[in-house]
Amino acid sequence: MESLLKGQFSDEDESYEDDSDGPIESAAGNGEAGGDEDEVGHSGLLETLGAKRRDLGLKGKALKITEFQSISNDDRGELPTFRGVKALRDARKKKKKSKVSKDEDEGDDEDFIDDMQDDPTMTKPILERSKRSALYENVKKDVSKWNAVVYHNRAAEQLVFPLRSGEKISKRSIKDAADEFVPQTPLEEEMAKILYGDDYVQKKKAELHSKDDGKTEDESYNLSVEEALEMHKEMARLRALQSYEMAKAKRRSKIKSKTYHRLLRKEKIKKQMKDFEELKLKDPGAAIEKLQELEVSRIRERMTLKHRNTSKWAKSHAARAKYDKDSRIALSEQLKLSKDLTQKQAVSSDESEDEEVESHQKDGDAYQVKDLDINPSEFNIETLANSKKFSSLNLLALRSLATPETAPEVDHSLTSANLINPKNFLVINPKFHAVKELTIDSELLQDDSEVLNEEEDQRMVIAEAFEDDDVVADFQQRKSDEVDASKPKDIDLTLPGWGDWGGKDVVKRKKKQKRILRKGPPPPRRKDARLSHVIINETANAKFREHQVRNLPFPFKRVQDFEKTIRAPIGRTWLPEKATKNLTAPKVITKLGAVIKPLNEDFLVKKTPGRGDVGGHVKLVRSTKITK
Amino acid sequence: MPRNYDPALHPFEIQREYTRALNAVKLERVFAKPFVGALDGHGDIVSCLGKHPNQIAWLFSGDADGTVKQWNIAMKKCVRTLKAHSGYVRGISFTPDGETMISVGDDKNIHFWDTCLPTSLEVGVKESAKFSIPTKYNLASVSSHAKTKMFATCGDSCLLWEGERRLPVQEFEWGVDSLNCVRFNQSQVDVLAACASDRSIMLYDIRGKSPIRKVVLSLKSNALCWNPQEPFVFAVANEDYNSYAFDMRRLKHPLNIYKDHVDAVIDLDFSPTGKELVTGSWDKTVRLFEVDKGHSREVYHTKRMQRLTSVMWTLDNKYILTGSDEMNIRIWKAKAWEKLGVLKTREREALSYNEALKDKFASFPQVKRIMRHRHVPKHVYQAKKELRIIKDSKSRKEGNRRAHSKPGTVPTVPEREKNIVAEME
Repeated sequence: MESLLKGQFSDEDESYEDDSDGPIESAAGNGEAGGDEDEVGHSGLLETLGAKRRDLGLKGKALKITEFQSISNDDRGELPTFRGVKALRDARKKKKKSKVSKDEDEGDDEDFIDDMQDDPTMTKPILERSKRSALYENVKKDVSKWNAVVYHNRAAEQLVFPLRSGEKISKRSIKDAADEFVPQTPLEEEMAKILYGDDYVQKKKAELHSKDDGKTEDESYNLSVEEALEMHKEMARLRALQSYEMAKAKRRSKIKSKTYHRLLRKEKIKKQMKDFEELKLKDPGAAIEKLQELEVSRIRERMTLKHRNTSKWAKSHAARAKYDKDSRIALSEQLKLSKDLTQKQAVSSDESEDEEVESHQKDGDAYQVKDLDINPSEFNIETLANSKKFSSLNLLALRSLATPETAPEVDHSLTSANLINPKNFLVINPKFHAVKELTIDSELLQDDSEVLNEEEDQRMVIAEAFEDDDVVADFQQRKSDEVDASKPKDIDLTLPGWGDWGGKDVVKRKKKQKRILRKGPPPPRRKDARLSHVIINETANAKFREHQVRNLPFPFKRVQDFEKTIRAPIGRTWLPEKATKNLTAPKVITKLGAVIKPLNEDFLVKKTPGRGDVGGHVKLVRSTKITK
Repeated sequence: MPRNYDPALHPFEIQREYTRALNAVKLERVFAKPFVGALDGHGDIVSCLGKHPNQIAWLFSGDADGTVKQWNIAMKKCVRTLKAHSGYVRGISFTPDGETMISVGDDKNIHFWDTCLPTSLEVGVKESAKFSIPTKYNLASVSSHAKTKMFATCGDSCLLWEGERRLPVQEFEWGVDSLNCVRFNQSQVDVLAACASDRSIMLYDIRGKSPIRKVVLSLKSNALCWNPQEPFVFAVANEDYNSYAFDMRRLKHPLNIYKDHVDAVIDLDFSPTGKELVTGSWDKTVRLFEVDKGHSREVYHTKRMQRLTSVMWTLDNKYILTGSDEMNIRIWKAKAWEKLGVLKTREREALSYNEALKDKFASFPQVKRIMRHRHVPKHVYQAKKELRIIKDSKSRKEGNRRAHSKPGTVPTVPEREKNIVAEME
């Protein structure tokens, strides 16, 4: 107990000291003082204590003995004594404002109580009250060290109880690594010899050897029974897996079915083709290599004539081919294979590509259009003018666009249909690009004209954007759509063929259709028939309403957000297994039969100077969710 | 199974999930069988329960005629009976190592018992305490320090004891009060809190050797419990039918009120995960709350269970133990619909999918309705109705008063702060 207490309090940075209570307490505080001197004085003190105890016992008052006598603070005199709680608080506030370092502040807090007790003008109730409030402030500050852990746990997506307190994070510096480095290869040894000398290398080597020995010993002894069992199990599992695989392979190899093998082969070829296609996209170099390999195999095939009709197998089949369909098929397949293998692959070289490009250029307009799309900055009016497609352009206007001096005179009517063929929407792009480019590049433009131009542009853009925004008409349109949709539809029961001519381009007979068409009943009167400004939803169903959410649930601020969460499915009918597991992972996992202990100090990390104000830091961050 | 996850092929996924959620919530109600069993054997009112800090299966219970019984919950069997006190056993606590059980009673004695069963005991020989401290104080409750041999008792004042020392090492006094419950904080180990009969809750700091703060509620608090995972949070069971959660740094503004009982709340306990709360009440029901919700998620009652005297959440977060007036201790599941025992992977996945669905569609009216539907005893039902009328009338009256007063003279007090009278330094 004593040792526990000691440990507990010696660790504390701040001690709650209160040693003005009298001789009894100081006598009882043997646990804290420690040292040889106390050993000597201990018995004497105990006697005093005993006497006092007896006295108090007779009086029938509980003995107030403190167990937490801390080392008295000798330099207390340095601090000023205060005349009242208010004055003291004010002083403390000021101190805080003047950004005194935190440690000093804490020290002040503790001394405050003592100061109070030293002050003879304090009455007891006031004294006690101020002591209490000071202590409360202290405890408040102290208990806030749990903030980080608690808030982290509150916000955690998943908590697994019993919580693990984090293991110690080993910090390995570069220096440590350098110290641990042992030259091993001849080159390294050479380098070390040059750098540090021969002795150093010898020493390091000796260390390494001794360490190695130690390690082997350790390893041989480190394996506990459970671990050994575990290892054994793992080995057994691997062996079993291997044997399963072997058995499978053996069984497969024994299958005699030709169809099976043929299918297998086909599958294999298909897979190879697919792989090659992928490879072509991913890594053309590797694909070319593969092609070359194929070429080699083709050459080999041509040399060996393996799949021709000269082999023993082929000959035997050829003899039977006349009567046996299977062998005929087999033979023809063999020949086809041979043909495939020996056929020369058409390899597209770089030259042909170049040719293609050239031809495009000759084509003119097609290539230029493409060019315009890709890189408008290289847009060349001359080529554009040459092309037939843009012949309808007002070339003069375009020219004026291109030269910076005349840029302010750009006519916006250029966009209008009479200048540009409206079907050629592509031509609009280069125009805008040109305008843009000019406004950015040309520094010759006058400022005011530029501003004017921009304003005009802006106005145009807005006008264009809201050009066909007629709210009233829109509403009427919507309403009429709604009304149409709610009207009962006519049912067309005509069947093709009855009493008709057959064949292509047969016209449906209107008369017949009219005769057979079932007219829908007249639409019921709508509630909003006379209300021009209202659309009443007549299909709303009261039965649906009892399944619909009325109010937005708590954490959501917008209906759309809530709807989004509902719209995203979590079941495995709609999601891959892993996603479902992640989405349905429980928030709290407890282990059956495991005691969950209250939070303890292991979950806190000591505050390092220079860090943030929050006392505790969360040690452990789970990265993976357990899907249970 | 290979599936095509293209959303275009699944036009009804929301509807299907909604149906599944409805089914899940219905199944939850179908499988809700919370009562596991009763521990029968006490000869008088069960007055207190004590949970062993390390052994889940061990339960200690004290009754009104001074008997302490040790139970093996797994076997639902009484393994030891101790004639500990004459008169009420008021509190049971354990030293941090779990080797010693401390019991206090109305006979003003503190007894220390070995928690392990004695190896051999002759038949008919009364087992005696390992150590006893006769005192001259009224002892109403006991709680142990989380790290040392110290423990605190309360009665006329809060006393701090240490191990087997015959006299308290510390007495905390602040005005005249009689305290009925004292609890050490198990994480912030030097802080303890107590409920007093003068309607106050007090905080003490044993390092500073002084009470530090007091908050007065409108009615007396019966029990107190610290949140094991949130060291600055504690909750009290109050006579005004509610429980309150406090942050010890802001006593004026409770974190939450837990409403639903229709009579005084007698005892409460946090779940070891710190996410939930169980309360036992004089209205013969046990209620489970989530710490961040205001109303209970579950109510447990049986026809024969009388007024609750103590409740306890086991340390594996799976069960709830309740002691009541009619001499029985009952074992309940913490999740009424939970399947006990080992689950197969598929089953577990299906269950967690169901849970997730319930969570997802919790705000849908039909799901909510089924999830919240509970049968309660008639007296509780009637009392609820009556309380509702009282509440409505009060709020109406307040509204009227506000409407007919000068603006600003009748302030709007938040519901949580209505019953906080004062915070005292």
